[in-house]
Amino acid sequence: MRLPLWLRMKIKTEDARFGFYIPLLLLYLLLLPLALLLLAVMLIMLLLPGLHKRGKEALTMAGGILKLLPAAAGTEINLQSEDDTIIFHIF
Amino acid sequence: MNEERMQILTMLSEGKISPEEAEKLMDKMEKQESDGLQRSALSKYLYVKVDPKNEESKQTVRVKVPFTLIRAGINIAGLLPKDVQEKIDGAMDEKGMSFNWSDLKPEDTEELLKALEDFEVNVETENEYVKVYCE
Repeated sequence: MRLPLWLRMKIKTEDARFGFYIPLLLLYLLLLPLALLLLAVMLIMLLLPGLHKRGKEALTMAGGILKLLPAAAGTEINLQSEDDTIIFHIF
Repeated sequence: MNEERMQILTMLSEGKISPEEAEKLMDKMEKQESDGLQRSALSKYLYVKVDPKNEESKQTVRVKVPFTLIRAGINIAGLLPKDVQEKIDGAMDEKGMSFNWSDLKPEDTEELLKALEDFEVNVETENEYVKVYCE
């Protein structure tokens, strides 16, 4: 399994029309400092006796959420109506 | 019992291989089978298609969700803190769905996904065809 690298989004309505490809690698790099900060907070919670249980739960949840990322590769949503189009692809 | 298994047992009964060798072969075969199953599950998708009955209408819905995402989603639900799980269970119970997330084991998830492989729902309404299936 690999991390998805691109997010394609296209929205075409009466009022707006835009479409873009988001390089997810950049997004990962941008979110990395935040992830590291959260990891540090969780590790500190693990060390504190009163928050140990919550810290363990948060760390387990974070692991589960991280597994969602590679699993999302291949997701496609296409919605088409008379006037509107919404396309959302992760690949 | 599949052919390979029978072949191993025949070789064992004929004394061509020792019980230890037979066990090793069985283990290897089971691992290959499980890898194959995992690979097939990885490449599977759940599709939702909504098409209009009226050919002039442009209203369509196409959703393609990888099985891996469904699996990861179910697994995440199992990782939720107990108090959160209880709240979800309570809310579902209020809606008439008695369900306990903590009862959902990883093997149940696999069984559920395996059952989904043959899943197909076709609904015909006044204005559209709805098809939900796995491939």
